[in-house]
Amino acid sequence: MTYVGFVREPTYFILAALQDGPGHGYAIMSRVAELSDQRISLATGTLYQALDRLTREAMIEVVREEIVNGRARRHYALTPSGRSALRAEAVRMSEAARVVLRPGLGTA
Amino acid sequence: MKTYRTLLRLYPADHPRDEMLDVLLTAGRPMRRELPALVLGGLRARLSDQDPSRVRWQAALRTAALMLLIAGAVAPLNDLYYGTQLRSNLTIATWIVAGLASVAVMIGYRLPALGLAVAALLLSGTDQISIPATSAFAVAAVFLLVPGPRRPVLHPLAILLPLAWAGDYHLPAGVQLALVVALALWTVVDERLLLATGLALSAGLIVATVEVAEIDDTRGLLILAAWRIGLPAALVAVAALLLRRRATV
Repeated sequence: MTYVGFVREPTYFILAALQDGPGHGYAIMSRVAELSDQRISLATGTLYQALDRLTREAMIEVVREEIVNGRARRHYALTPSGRSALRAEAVRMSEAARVVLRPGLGTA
Repeated sequence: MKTYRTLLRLYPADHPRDEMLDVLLTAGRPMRRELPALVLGGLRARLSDQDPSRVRWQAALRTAALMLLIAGAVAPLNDLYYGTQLRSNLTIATWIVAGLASVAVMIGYRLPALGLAVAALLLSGTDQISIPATSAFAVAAVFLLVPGPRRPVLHPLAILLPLAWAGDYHLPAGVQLALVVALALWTVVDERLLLATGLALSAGLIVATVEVAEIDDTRGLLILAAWRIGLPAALVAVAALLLRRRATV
C-alpha cells in the first residue's frame, strides 16, 4: 500500500517502536513510552486497535507466535510499506520543524 | 483478571484476546486507566471497523434509506392525530409497501427494497397522504440506488429515531432528549448512524421548498434554512470528519 497521508502521533511511535526489530504487544507499549519520553502511554485497548488497523493497512505484520505462560503472544514487525510510511512521516515532520527552528529565528 | 477476561469477551472470537490479557496483566495498570479503551476497542472491533471509508458511506446511505422508509410510513400518523381521515385503501397499501421495503433493507436486500421504495413513492404520490412521506420515499429510493455489499441494517436507533420524528410534539421531551443523547454516545463507537441521520434529515429539503413558497418573511426563511439545511449538513460534516479521522492510519 502506498503511503498517502499523515500518521497520527501514537501510530507514528508504534511504527517507530518496531524500526529496530520485531516486538510483542507489551514490548511495543513500553518502547512507545520510552521513545516519547513517557508522553504517550498507550492503553492496551488503544494499542490493539492501532495494531489491528496497521496490520490491515499492511504497515506491520505478524512474524512470530509463541506461547508464554499458557497465553499466545504474537510478534509484530514493520513491512516495507510501513517502514517507508514511517520514514516519509519523519521527513515531513523534520521539514516542518526546520521552518520554525532555523538558526537565528524564534530562539531568542 | 476475571474482569479483564469478561471485558475481553466484547472482542470477536478471532481477536488476540489471550495476548491482550497477557499485556493487561504484565502492564499492571489501574483498571480505570484501561477500561474505556478496552470497551471502546471491543465495540469497534465488533462493528466492522475494518471497512474502508467507501463501504462505511454505503452502509450509512443504506441506514438513511431505512430511516426514511420508516419515517415515510409513519408520517401520516401525525396527520391522523389532527383528525385527518387517512384510512383509504391506498394509504394502507403505502404503509404495507413501505413496511416491506424497510424489512428488505433490514435484511440486506437492496434491489427489492429499491423497487418497494419506488412503489411506496408512487402510491403516496397518488394518495397525496403527506408531503413529508412522499419526500422521504423519494430520497430513500435515491439512496438505495447506490450499490454496496449485502449487509443487514439492524440498529435499534435507526428505527427509534424516525419513530420519534413522526411522534413530533406528542412525544415527551425526555424521550426525544434520551434518543439524541443515545445517538451522540453511539457516535463515539461508530459514526455511521450520525452520518445516516444527517443524510436522512436532508429529505426535509424537499419539504422546505414547499414551505418556502408559503413564507414571506426573511427571518422565518432563515430559521427554516438553518433547520432544514444547516442541521443535516452539520451532522453529515461532523460524521464525515470522524469517518475520515478513524480511517487514518
